[in-house]
Amino acid sequence: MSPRSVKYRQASHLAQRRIAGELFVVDPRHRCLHQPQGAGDPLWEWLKKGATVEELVQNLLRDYDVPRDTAEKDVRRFLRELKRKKIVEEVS
Amino acid sequence: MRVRGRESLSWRMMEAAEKAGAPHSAMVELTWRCPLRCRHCYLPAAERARREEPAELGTGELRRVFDEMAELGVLYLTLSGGEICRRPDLPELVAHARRNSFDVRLFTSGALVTPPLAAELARRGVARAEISLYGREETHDRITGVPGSYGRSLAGARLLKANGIAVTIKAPLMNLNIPDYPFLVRLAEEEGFLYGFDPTVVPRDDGDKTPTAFRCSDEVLGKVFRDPRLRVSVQGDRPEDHDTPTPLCEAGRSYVALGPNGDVYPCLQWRAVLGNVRRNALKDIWNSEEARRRRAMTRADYAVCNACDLLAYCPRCTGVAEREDGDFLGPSAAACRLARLNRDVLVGRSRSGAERPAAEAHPL
Repeated sequence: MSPRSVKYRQASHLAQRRIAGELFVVDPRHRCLHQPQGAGDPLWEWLKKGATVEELVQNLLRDYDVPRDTAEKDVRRFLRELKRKKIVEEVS
Repeated sequence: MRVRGRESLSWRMMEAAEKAGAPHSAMVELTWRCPLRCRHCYLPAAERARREEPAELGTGELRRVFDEMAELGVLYLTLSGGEICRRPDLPELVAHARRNSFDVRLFTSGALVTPPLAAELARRGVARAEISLYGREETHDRITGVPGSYGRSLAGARLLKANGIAVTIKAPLMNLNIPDYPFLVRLAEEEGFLYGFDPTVVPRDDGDKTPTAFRCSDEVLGKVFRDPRLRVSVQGDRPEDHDTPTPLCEAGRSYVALGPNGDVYPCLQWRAVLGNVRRNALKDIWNSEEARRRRAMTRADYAVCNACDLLAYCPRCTGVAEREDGDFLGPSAAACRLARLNRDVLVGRSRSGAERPAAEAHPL
């Protein structure tokens, strides 16, 4: 599978809830609590059913007034952080 | 875009729940039936001895309640009993809880966990389980009243862990088992379990005070509080938390509890029935006049305690105060005793210059 066609999805072991409009994500395996912020919130939601980097970039371009290279950098940085925290998984 | 780390998020989440006027944690008793006869159990003996299930919520009812809890804002769901493995629908209930994106924790004796059940619970998404293990085999079996129960509980704990579920073994500290706590600490370290101990022993839900005879003496508890292996969180590290008008406690505010027959309580220790989910939606019960009245109470409503010089050290439980002393706003003999012990330990730490442990802040 080429890197561009890799889909990413929220890790299946997580728990989450929107409370008073704020999103909280629990990782019970690592006993951690996370809160995606700013554009991280909708990016996180778009990862619910799985999305490629390109799909995430397109969603950002649609909803935010940012240049394409900024959107792509932000998406890749966000995914790197999610991978580091082990709360995202690749799906075939 | 950032994903925040842990420390401040616990409080931020609790503040969000407070703002929403919603609980973030729920404790659900699936059944009161239990094969064990633990001498200190807070459930009345008659309830535990039931063989039939006359009034328990059914699978469909519990699925609906879980949906309502998720809609209300609950994130942490604990399934407890009695013995939850008595319920043949336990895996399905776990699966439905996970479909609602709860963080699911199980409270169980472990004695009825089989290899297929452990695998199924892990597959369905249980992340954590807490197993009651009271001491060495002889001690444990004497407390449960069931020979062989230690071996079955330990086997159940091992099965859950082998399937990737994080296991905590836990025990109340009683005069029945206090010499065995070093054994439990070693066992946990050898097996890769977490462990936790609680010095609180409470009367039964029907007011029967028999279990309180198993409380440790002040001298013994004082030593326990000073043992760094036990990580007992001693109240009083944050005196600013005890100023009025702080709420009585988190029962009925951050926490909600559900009995097997559908009764809704502020928490399992404070069994003031707010309503029943068979008659009303959970949201309506949570927002009922009675529930709001209890949530609005603060420490300013205490009858006597605000004048007490031990207030800053007091681990007062609203439910225990009502159950043992008859008045949830009045003094709690059990709390008074622990407050004196807390003060003595903290004063001792202060004099020795020992580092104070951080206050417990988060359900994780």
